[in-house]
Amino acid sequence: MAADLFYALLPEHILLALILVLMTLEILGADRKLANCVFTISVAVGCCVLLVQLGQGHTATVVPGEIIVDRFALLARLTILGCGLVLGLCSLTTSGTFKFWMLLSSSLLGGMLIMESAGFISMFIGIEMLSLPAFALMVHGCGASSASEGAFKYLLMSSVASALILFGLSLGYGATGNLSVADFAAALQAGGAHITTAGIIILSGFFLKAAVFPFHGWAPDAYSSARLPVTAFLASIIKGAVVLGLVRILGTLTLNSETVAVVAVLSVLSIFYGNITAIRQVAFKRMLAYSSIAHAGYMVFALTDNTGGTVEALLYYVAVYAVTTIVACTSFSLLVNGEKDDLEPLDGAFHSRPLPATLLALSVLSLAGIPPLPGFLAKFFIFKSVIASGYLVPALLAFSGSYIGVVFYLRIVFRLFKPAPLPLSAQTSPRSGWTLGGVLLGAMLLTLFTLVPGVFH
Amino acid sequence: MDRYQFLIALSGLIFSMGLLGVVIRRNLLVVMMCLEIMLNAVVLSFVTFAVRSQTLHGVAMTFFIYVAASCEIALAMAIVVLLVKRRGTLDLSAHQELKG
Repeated sequence: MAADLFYALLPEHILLALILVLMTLEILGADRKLANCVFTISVAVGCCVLLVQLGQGHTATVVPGEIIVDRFALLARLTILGCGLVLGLCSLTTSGTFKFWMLLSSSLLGGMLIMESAGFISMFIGIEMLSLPAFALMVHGCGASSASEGAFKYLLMSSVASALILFGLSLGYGATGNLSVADFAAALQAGGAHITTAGIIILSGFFLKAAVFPFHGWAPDAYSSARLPVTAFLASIIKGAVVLGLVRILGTLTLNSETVAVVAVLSVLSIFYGNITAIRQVAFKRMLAYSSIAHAGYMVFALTDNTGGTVEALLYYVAVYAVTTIVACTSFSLLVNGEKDDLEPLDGAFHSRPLPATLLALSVLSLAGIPPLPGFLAKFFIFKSVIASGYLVPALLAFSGSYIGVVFYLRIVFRLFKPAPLPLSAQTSPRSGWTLGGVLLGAMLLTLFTLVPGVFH
Repeated sequence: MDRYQFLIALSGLIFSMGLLGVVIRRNLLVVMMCLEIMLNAVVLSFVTFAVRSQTLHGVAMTFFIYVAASCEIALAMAIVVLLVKRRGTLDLSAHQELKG
């Protein structure tokens, strides 16, 4: 039992140790480079442990009724930790301070806790641990700037979402008499007014956290006021973890027809709203925020599937979307040198810095869903399973909505490949070696996802 | 109406009052108080269901809710201090530089 507790949760133990070590190092006043090194190595080791466990097909019931490690837990934790590694490498030189790494690791730890929870107590702790460090990350190092306004809006909406989830949980607890995820899902499947109300309140809490259409108000402000690595973190890992948490509850469930109708309508609206509003945006981060609202729509859309392919389709979608977003944000920051947010510096960037420009172009095309890039495959799996479930009209609407998005993604690509307006001075940002390494690691992962689309099956 | 139904209805009422307060009040501190009211309503509902079903899960949950709520309020107060430093007011409508 004790050995099981140690081995099955080894990645979590590594992250906890990492947080403590970082705290000690900061007290001792150690060099910043050491922190970068410790973070990268620990997270990489955590990923390796998860890969080994996946190879062994390791499963364990660590704390009965609260924490279980199954195949989904392994894959989802690998997704979260892998994205954490890519993001860490990308922001190694720009924002690698002790506090940044500590907050990032605690957030990753929370995300991993959500994925292995079999009871709502650990899931609630996971959700709070995922989002609380994010508020601190947003204001960290920004002083009294507009970042604090964005962070406050995010904190307010996220706390309201937590309260909604908790209220739904308490109603579900009243109906089932315990706080187990499986019992809740079984009761939801069986139906009844009481449990359906609970389900809808919980669902709206999760939608608020994932910024699906009517609950999206906080996302553009929060994303545009944070620094670029933090925006990438919010848009990729946090959104992905929230959606995968929803999968942990509803993954193998067939929703009843009323819930399917609500989810389908909200996700189609989300796709249209996100893509249409993004066309008007002139700032990169704001555009990314609206595009992430649309992507939340695609992810939620996968929940309407009743052929049993939701889990694999969403794991693939979340992994591809998160890595692509991180790659896009980082190559954008490489091209504009610093914290500028408008799209003008991208004009003709291909001629002065071909590698980051190509990566940015490929990643936005992948976000738009142009074949044969991984973003297309991810959307294809979702639409395929939704159509197979018999929801042809919503799928067609969502599909046509998704190609509105091509307009603003292509605008970035056109800017990149414009003939250079001026003889550009060689804009090389200092110390970008690691950042480029992180972007290339992300690009390699995306190539892997393209070549082996069945990687999560 | 037995006392459990009364308590659940009461917690629903308090929760909606808190939610309404978050939506309509314009003072940063009052908004945070309304959030706490929502969480306390949730705690009341958990405890009521725990007593009714004679199980301990709901009671355990309340401790975690209080821990999470206090972390949240600690972070929120730090951010409120930053906001007040910037604009010198607690009025939410003064902090509307970012437009959704």
